[in-house]
Amino acid sequence: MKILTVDDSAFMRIMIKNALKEGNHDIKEASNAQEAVKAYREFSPDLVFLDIVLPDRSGVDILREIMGINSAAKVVMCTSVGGQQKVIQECIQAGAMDIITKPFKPEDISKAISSAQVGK
Amino acid sequence: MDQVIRLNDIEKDALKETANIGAGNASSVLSKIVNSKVNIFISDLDFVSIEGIEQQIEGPKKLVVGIYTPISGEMSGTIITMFLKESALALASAMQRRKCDPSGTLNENDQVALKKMGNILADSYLKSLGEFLGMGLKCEGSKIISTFGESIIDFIMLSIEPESKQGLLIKTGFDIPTSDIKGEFILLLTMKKIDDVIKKIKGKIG
Repeated sequence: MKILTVDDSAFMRIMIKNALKEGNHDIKEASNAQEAVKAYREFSPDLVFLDIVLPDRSGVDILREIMGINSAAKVVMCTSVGGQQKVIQECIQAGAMDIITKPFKPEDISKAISSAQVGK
Repeated sequence: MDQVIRLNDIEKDALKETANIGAGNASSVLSKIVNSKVNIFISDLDFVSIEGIEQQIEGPKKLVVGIYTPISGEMSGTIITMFLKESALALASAMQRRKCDPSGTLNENDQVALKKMGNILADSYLKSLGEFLGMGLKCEGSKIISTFGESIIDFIMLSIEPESKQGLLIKTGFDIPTSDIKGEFILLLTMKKIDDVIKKIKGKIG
């Protein structure tokens, strides 16, 4: 599966990569909004892990842009503020497939992969 | 005498992200308290000398309100939830469902409300931090301080070992856009048990 991880934190990208180690996935990384949209267009990933808090733009804005490029895009929002009902609503309304709250477990990542595969 | 700790970029990033996880969980709790969305921003990290800490904290010349919660267990330090006075008044009023007088002072009820909130936020911050790092962390009773930003140093110093001249300060800003409330979660780790925290972080990086 082609997976794009978008997070300004290199540490968090490592954590996601470690959780994806078993699956033999093709993984690309982006650390800001500009790189994320560029990578989405060029790489056409099957699944995106997208952080909500980024330095240049909000992750929800990027989600909307990605959904504008491909309305069937599968995007999982990653956030430490996932306990906020309003954030969840905003992400779901913008087209997110799922939301995982940091600190996430490797099982949360595997579950997102399975959901993306079912919908393929 | 403090030991010298050098962190590479990934380790600094990991510490910032760890604090961000704590702040994110605390802001989710705050969001429930005020029934409104709470935004958090990217964290800043720095090793600071005790004398320089007040410069790191927003509004050294402005009136601030800090809810200060010592950490015990496998980490040594404090969590400070900090607001400019106007934001603290607005938040205390929102919690008590009454209109805010921005030029007023914090009365006893306001202080009780903010202290209670600070305790809940510090607890949720530490809970997620402890869960993430696999460390046993507890928060002690919160205290509230209302003073000029530069004087807050006196209170922070209470939590530092007397022989220590350095601390690790990680700040995460937040705001509540619907009510113009702004604040910061500040995690100040003293050098006493910092090695253990860094070991845990390194273990996560692999």
